[in-house]
Amino acid sequence: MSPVSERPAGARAMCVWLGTLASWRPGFIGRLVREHRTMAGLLQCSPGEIVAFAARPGRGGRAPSDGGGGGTPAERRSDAQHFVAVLREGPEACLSRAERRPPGDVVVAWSEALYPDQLRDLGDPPLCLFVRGGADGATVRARLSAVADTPLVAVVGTRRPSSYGQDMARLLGGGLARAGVVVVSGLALGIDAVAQRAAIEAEAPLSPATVAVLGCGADVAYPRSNAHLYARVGASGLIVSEFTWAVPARSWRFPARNRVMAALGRGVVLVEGAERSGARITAGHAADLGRDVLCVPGEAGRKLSQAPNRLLDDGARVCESVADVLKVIGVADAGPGAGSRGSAGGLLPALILDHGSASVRDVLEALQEASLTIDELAARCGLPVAKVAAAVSDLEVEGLARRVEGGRYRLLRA
Amino acid sequence: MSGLPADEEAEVLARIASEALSGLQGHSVVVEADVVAAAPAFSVVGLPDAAVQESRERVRAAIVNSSYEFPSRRITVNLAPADLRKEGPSFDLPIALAFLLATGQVKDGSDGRGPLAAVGELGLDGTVRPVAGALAVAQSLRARGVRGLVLPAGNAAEAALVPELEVYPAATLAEAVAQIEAGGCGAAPPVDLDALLAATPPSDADFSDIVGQDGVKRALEIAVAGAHNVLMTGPPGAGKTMLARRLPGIMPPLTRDEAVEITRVHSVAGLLPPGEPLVVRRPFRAPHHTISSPGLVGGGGTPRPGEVSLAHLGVLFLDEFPEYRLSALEGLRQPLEDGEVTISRRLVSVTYPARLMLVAAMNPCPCGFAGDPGRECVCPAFRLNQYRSRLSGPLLDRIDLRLDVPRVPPRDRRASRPSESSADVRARVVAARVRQVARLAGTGVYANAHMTSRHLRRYCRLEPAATAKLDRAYDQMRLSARAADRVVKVARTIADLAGAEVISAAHLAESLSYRDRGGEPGE
Repeated sequence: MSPVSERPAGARAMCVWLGTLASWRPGFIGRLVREHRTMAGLLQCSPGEIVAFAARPGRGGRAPSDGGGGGTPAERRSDAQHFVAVLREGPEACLSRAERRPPGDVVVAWSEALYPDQLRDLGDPPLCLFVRGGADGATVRARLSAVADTPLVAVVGTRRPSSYGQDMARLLGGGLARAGVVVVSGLALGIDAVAQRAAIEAEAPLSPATVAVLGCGADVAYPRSNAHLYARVGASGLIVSEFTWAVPARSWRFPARNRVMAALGRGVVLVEGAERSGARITAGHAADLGRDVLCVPGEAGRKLSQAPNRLLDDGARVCESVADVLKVIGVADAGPGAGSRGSAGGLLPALILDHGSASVRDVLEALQEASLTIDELAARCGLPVAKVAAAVSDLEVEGLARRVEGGRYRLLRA
Repeated sequence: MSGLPADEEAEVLARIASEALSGLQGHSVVVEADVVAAAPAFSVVGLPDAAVQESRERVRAAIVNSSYEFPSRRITVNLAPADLRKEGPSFDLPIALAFLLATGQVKDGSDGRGPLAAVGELGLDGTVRPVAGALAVAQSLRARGVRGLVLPAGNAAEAALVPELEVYPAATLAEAVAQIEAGGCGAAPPVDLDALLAATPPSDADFSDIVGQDGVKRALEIAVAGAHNVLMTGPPGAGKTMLARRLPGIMPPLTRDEAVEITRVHSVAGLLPPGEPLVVRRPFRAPHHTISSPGLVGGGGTPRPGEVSLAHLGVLFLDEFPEYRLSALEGLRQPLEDGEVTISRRLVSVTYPARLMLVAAMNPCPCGFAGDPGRECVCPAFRLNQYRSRLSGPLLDRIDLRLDVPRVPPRDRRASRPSESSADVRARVVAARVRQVARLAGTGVYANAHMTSRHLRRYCRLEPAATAKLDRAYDQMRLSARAADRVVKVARTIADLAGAEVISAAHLAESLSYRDRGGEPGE
């Protein structure tokens, strides 16, 4: 490991180097910070000291399972090889490699003013962030500095939401964006994707429209089925990762990513999650950091209600609407119309005036009590099924109801 | 040889007309037998397959066991034309008859009335066994102007469907010989198919057997009325199979020509049950999802009709739709589009009809419990995506109605009103079909499902409120252009059921509830 210089490197190069090293070895930063007590102390080390630390057995930055953190042996080996290669490369070479990128890709170091201050609350903050979003570096930097002045809220939840969870995520994502709050999430399947898509589609005058924190390189569209959404977030929002470019997704990187999401937001809203889930981890980090934790209450007895209901029991706040979130994080509600589009009850007269259909009104009234199938609606309203089918479609076209699992129709609330 | 008189020399060549089938298409085959006094041998030439080669052994035994002589001479049987591949055992009888004529043991008694053709398989004891495809053979012979046909007694009923063809059933070789010697006598009476159809209920299973599920029944009525294909999604035990089984019972009553068409395909496939030689009900085919692609769409070395053709003019029910082999599912596209299947092989290209109503069913997820109020789904996200993504867009484009079939709890089943009978539903379906046939006359299309986009513009007039609703749905629900076309088609059928010529906003709204929801629910 001789090529690595013994004299101290620049703070920015040091941050990027250490951040890149941490991309390949779980918990590396945490152990370094513990060794040097403060971040400032850590950044004053010479590269040689880092090399020596990394090579130290046991404590030495080496995870108990040798660079492990799950994955196949081949994956662990590949991570370890990358780690050693970066170690040999040294800070300057590493920095210049990290910056040899297309114009929209930016590296922000811990030592820079552009680095989000919220992340400094973490005991083991990312030493640098790899960011993309927009066509050029200036756009990315403008969006990054906007993040410092705008309230951020993380919306997280299960990858397999029920239609109720999807509706709530959509409502919150869109409503928060319209209320001027930037939605932070992980671009995962399910709740993350629904909330972020809704935030983009709210077409609020926000820049960035949403912030995605990834558990892989910021230039890696993972999961692949979200590639389209990834591109849309890249166009109008920010994609952030503490892992260097082209780092593949590994199971240990997601919990690490969750702490960044938790730290970025003023609060975290959890929409559906199982007892042991990534969303729960995010909420736990947020609570540790003193961020507000809100949960959308779940139906009793369902697996996906475990995380939110348990957290509510532990003191999390109830989130039933965008207004709840705004109240808790201390953002003034811009009033009805800005944050919401009015209740179903408000639109009812207009719809009935438009169509003059009594069956639509009957169906709407029945749906206000419960989600029902066509047959159940027909029985309750005393209507033929053909009329009920037409009525629910009318409601769907007007965005007042939608069909959910099991052929049931449910009213949508805004 | 030198001892034989000259007129006996002339007797040594005999001919019997027969028929070979490739698919449903008949080809004339002449069986020639030549007997010469030379070293004993019995050979069959003229591109015979293994089953035809083996027929020598059956013919020899049948002749001897029917108390005829099998002389020790050189016997050559030729199946002309020699470039057409001959398959199966149906040449046994004509070979035996040609042999007996050629050896002078039997005299042709047709006396200028025109010779008789023959088909049939022989047993070693001289019995004549039924063959596959007798109806197609009879139709083809009739089209060629052949007067009559000697055929196995078991095939008489189907062949007797063909008008103006004399059908002479024979249970044994001796009876067949008697028919040839008499030039045909005692033809089988023509089958009164109309009476048979009138006497047969369209289905054993009635719609009124199913309690509840009124919404699904309504949708299925629309599907049948417009000949639309359907995809039902619902948890196991919701009654998808029960509902599908009852669809042939609400389809329009089978006409005479349709019954003949169905019988022809089933006959060629050798699937006519021995006791019932005619198909007088619309078929309901429900192949298991492990079926091979040739099994589903037809094929094999000798192209045989697949399930799509066996379901011709009836219902093809594919339960666990996404579990079928991808090749089988892709193979469905052509028959659904064209109403027939063409199978090409090196020597032959065969076309079978396949105008069927596809009723597909699937669970909401691999474990079957997504959306079930009682049970929780345990499928991982990737399995769910895999399950749903097996169905390709082009295939789903041919399915006009998507239904959710919820499970009906027992208390709702008890509370439910008595259901309509299949006959009541069928009456409405027939009325709607009559309107469609009248409207679409001259287009080559007989039902709304088969309308092209040109037909849609011409025949689907929407009232202004309906147009507005469609436009709004197009934006709000992000319908694709194709999905919007399907919505209009189904709305056309709903209007037909209501007896309306113009599609109203209510018709369109109901049609929207059966639309393709893409990935919903679940992002």
